[in-house]
Amino acid sequence: MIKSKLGDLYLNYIPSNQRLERIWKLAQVDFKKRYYNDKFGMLWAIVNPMSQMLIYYIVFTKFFNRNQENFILFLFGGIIIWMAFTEASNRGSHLLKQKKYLVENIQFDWMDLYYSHILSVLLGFLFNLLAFGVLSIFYKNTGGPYWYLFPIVMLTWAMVSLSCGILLGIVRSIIDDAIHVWNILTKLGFWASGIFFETAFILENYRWAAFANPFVGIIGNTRACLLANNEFFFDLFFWDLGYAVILYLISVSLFYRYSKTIVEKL
Amino acid sequence: MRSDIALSLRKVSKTFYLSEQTDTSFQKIKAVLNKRLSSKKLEVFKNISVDIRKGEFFGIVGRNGCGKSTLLRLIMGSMNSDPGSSIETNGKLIRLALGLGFDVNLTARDNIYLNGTILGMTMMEIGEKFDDIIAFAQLEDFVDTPIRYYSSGMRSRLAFSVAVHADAEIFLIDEFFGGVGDESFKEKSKAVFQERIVENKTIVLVSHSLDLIVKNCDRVMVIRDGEGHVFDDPKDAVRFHKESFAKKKNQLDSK
Repeated sequence: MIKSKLGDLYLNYIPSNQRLERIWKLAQVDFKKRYYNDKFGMLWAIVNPMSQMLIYYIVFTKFFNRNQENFILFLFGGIIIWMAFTEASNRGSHLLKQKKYLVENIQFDWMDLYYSHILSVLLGFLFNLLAFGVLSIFYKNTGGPYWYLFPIVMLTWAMVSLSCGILLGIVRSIIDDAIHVWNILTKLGFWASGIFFETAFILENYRWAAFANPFVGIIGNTRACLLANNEFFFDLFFWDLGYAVILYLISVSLFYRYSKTIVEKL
Repeated sequence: MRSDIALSLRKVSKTFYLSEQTDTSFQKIKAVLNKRLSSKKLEVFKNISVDIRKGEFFGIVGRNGCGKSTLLRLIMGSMNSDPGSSIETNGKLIRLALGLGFDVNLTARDNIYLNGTILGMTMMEIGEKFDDIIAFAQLEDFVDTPIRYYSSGMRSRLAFSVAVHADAEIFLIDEFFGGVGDESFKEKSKAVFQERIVENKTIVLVSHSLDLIVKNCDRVMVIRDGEGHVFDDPKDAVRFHKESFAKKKNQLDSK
């Protein structure tokens, strides 16, 4: 008898939903594969954003004399959201190519690949959130009063990230160079999404940018949920949610229209 | 579509537009904008119509490049057919082709669970059938070995075993048996397919092995000069197919 591993048996204890199980299995395998050949495995999921956070923390506090309460947590909260987004959109753009062995041989809804991909990125994000929690204990951070809205902020993040991955994938199937343009845009976005600045400052000085770039609101409200003494921006919260829903609907309808053409070109 | 029909193809055509210069993105954009002007039109086949009954063993033969595998991809839904074509399926499809369907960096265990869930099985069902899948594929000692260390025969056995146990209703088999491995497994696999027909499984087999076609198929389609010719007797189909080879050879000789 070849025993099944425990990891595959957990679902026996919750009601069975075949589609959810499929999405979960795809996400699990994707997450496992990401750190497959690395000696320290999933530790890299935490080490990467933490190292970035430390670099920026040193630069801003030592060279620019930034003295803000819990600035290290302020930075970390922004960086993990942004890094998860770039990972989701970049890898999402060549997801069909990566999973060609499945799409060409088994009939299923290819959107499940994208849902599982986002879930897999969220699994990595959870490790970062755990690190954030540990740091919070160290810095005596008690969290924000609107912590219960965090799942909705993350849902907004998920819809924007998924949509960008799909749209980028469609454009890449026509022009390969799109990924280089996207890399430039994400580098610009890194500095223009409020990772280093207060959302209130962007809203006050560059209001149009705060509404054009949903990550200003997503990052600002993530901090409001996770950090004490941070303002929650309800106007951006609702605007970003609407933005994400519209972007999601457009990208999904384009995906169903052009996905076969993309696969044909792979 | 009638309930006794597993696959219904109506006026299915496929044309490829092959861009001649797509080295750079600028050339690609140009090719997209002037699709019909800067690309070669390759009409693979046109107006193929056939109804394949549930439980039928249907063969497809034709010369290399005639579009047999393309037709299977169209049926799978991983390619667009030309406007005006209609493909209706009645049941879960799986395509079996050599070396396909698995992530080589994953173990057999992970691949079985992954393929199983995508094919519509629950984790519970996969767990229940797991031992049978491994035993049928004769891979008891390699369950947690990454697939990349498997021989092509081992991979094919695993793919075949997953497909059989996953209860797909329609099997699209693309030149699969050549790589299944040793003779005893080939016989075992073929026997399983023959048993499955009784259980209402539909099989569409693309093969260059005319013996296999004659022995197993109920009906056969020969794709010749872009057209699909369906024969009720596989022997007639093989004769027709061989004639096309002879015709082509004569044409080449006369040149």
